[in-house]
Amino acid sequence: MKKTFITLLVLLTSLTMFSQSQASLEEEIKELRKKAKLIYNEGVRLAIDEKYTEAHLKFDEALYILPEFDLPYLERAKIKILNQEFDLAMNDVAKAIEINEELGEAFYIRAYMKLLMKDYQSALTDFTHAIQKGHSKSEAYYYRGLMYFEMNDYNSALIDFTLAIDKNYDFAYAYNERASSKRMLGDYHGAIHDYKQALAYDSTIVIAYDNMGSCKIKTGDFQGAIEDYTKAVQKDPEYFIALNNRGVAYYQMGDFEAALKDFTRVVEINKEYAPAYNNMGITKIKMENYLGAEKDLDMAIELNTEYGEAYMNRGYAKEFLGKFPGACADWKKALELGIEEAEKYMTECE
Amino acid sequence: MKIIKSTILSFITLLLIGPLSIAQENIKIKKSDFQIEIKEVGFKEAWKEIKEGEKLFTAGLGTFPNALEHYLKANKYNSDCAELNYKIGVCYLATDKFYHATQYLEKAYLKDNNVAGDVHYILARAYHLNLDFDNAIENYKAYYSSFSVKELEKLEINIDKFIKECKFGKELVNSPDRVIINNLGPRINSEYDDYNPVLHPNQDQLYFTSRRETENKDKRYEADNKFFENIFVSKQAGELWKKPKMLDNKMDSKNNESVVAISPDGNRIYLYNGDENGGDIMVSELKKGNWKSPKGISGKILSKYKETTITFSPEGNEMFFVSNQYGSIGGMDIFYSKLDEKEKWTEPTNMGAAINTIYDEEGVSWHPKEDKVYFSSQGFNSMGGFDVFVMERDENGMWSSPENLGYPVNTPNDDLFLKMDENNKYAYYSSVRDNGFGGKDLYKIIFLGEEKELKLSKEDIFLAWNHKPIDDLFYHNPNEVKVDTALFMIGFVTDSKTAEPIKLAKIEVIDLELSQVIATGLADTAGAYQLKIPKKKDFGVEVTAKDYLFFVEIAYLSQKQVVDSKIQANFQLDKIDVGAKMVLNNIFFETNKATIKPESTTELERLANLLIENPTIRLEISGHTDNVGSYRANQKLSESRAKSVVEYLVSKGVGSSRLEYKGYSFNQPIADNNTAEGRSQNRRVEFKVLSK
Repeated sequence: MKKTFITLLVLLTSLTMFSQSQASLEEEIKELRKKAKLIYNEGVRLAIDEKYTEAHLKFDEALYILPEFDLPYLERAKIKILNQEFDLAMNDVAKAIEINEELGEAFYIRAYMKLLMKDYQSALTDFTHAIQKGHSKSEAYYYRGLMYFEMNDYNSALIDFTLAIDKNYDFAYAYNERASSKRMLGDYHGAIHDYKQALAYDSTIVIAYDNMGSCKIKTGDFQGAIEDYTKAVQKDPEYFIALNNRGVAYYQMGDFEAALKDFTRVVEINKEYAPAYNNMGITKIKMENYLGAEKDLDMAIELNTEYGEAYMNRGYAKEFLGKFPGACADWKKALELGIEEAEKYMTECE
Repeated sequence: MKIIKSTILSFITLLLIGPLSIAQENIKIKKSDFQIEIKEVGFKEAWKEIKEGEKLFTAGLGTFPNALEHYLKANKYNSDCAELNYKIGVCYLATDKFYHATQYLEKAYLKDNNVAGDVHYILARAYHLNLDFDNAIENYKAYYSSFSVKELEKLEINIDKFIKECKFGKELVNSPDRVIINNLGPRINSEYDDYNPVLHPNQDQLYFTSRRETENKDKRYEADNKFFENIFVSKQAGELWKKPKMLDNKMDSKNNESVVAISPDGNRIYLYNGDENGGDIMVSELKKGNWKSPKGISGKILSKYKETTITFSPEGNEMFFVSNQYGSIGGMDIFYSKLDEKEKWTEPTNMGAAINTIYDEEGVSWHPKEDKVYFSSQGFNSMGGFDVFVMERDENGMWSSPENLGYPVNTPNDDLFLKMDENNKYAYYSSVRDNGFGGKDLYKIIFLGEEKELKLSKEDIFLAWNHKPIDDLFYHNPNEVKVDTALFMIGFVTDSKTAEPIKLAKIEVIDLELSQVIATGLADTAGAYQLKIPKKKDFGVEVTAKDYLFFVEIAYLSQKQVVDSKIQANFQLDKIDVGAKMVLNNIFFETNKATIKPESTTELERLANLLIENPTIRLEISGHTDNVGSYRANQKLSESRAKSVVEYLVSKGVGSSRLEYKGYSFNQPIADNNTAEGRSQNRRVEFKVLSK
């Protein structure tokens, strides 16, 4: 009985000592955590002031003190993204998620990096996680919408862009992207409306003018399209895609001189833009300059050896020049490159 | 009705049957009509040109181009003369520049709608040749209606045929074939007539007939005032034809000679010789690389009439030729012959009304590989002049009805001598077109397959983000964490003499601005304490402990260093010993009075508590002043103030026997009375422990 009492006494004493030691340890950890947070916050303030190098050092320091601190990994990852150090950033974000799997923003950042790396499916999954874990700001929906769009799921993209706009009514980019989703779904008038909204909130989005023009072509409004393409070019004289599209509109209206002028300007701006050479080529075919057309199409193919349409068109030019073996070879190549219409022309080559 | 048939013994006669099928009216340009009254200048010269032109015009069709030159010069003087415009139009119609005729003829008609009896006919021909079929029909009809029935019977031209050609021409032009017709260019074509292309079976040599001027044959043919025909050959160099050379065919013809065919094996060349027997086909054989002197072809092909073109089946055992020999349905017809068992050509047979018409057929040519024969005809459903037709032999050996090759291969002008490529991809022939170099030219027809769609390339950047990504969209709101930023005041409470820790000493921190106690704590057994304070600033601190005098001071924490969120502040207390003194800094009086100010309460309460918690001690409360004023007055004031303190303490329950009071005036200064600060310190109340 006495022995038991002594043992219990010793045990209690030990427990008391342990408890005191434990309390002390906890206190120490608490202090470390606080210190790490303070340093981390200093880093955040530096980051806000765009002093990223100093901020990075603070996050390093915070993590040195408290390696299991999630947020410094996250913020450090952001700086690494800005520095294009995606692999390192990815490691940091992974660590942040490992420490705190409820950290929605970490999923968001990881999704963002995957977006940059064009890993759309993974990005889509992470954006969804981010939203589910509470990081549901307009940008999260916007980016997820982009992923749906890139994966050709235009209905889902439309919904996400709408949610992004719902959370941020003057989100010009989201209007443009929603417009493009509508366009892909065949709602050209709805798309035109959204492109206008995008431009109302941000008139520097030149592609909205260009896209609006392309929608107007779909509705048969060629003159309106040319006006929109012209606005795009006025906003950005080097925006050769709008110039090329205006040339296409002129071509479709039968104004081959104007079309050729635009295509020529495109290749002056970007001498490696194969579609403009292709379009120049077929415009010259329409103008019965078959040799000139052949040269332009040669150039288009030189710039893009997988350019099926250019092979088709060059075959056409060669046919007009009486170069039948060459024409047939081009149509054969076009067929190999997936231009199915070439198959029926091949019968002429037998 | 009399059908015009050529009787000139030349291969080229067919080429003369151009736009003007009748001798047009030679109206006279009257001086009075031409001269402009008020414009003397230039008239003399212009009238001279008129007279020259009239001479050449009267000479016949062959000199119309020469007449035209003079007429055009005269026209500069007076471009409104109806007769002159009419004649310019007529002359143009006789040239390869027929497309200029319309404007002059229309002007002539506008100025005088009776300028010539055949003006409607000439206008109709001009419209017809220029594919303006509706106006052509209208004018043909107008011309037709200008004749009486009797006159119509004598009319040498078939207006109905022209109208039919126009109607059919409209149909063909409305559904053009997908062909390209390329002029063989100035290397092959000349400003003169060039026609009848014959491609060597190897396809590397092109033979043709030309009426261009040559060094040793510069005579002109009387009928049309053009140079005689000669044969030329051009060799292929890549995609181009080399400059042609005149063929040395040993034929030694003084007049017209033309190449008409080459045998499928390439060893025989068939030539037309206008000098022979009314116009015959000759053959020259290739021996050791040289063409031998041509001889008349064997068999019963040749006649005293005219044989022009000939063609052989791919196997070489059948032939077609064109002749107006006995058995002709009308003019030049197509005849057939084949080799018999003895390898002799059989008696030629006319191909009959299914193939031949009452009009001329010409330029027969067998397909290099297939049972198809191409020829030109003025009959059938021609759209005007000679059109090219094709007939095909079926499995039963029957030839199909000729089929018009359509527009734009055929035109209202003469389209002749088509030679098809073995793969049906292209053909050579002669035609008169507005992109020619003069007269008839050689053209290459490229037969395109079905209509093909050209592929435009258009692209858009659909997503604004893809064009210009949003910069660091995610970085606008970095995550600042909430941190407990409270400070701790830590330290030890010890005995001022022994430095022993004073356990359970009570420390109170007072916010001086709020006059509130904001933290209270006790020292542990080691005399250590830790108090949480809201921020780093100066606080009042009161430390009390049993058996010790209380300690009240301002802790100037704002000047201290924070280490790990902690500010160190140690306190030393004096033990309650007899003789121990303490200045009561926080007791305030009204000026020169002994009335205690209310803000002194805390200090007085503190003193009262000391006495209550230590019930055995006795204290002397003493008053002190600075040296301003008299000693006596100061003594009285200092004593009164000490007494006021004692009275307060007694009022708090402290026995009066435990308290004494005394005024020391300025006898016990603790600081320099020469400074304001020193004098302030000297004005004070103290207590001293008398016993414990």
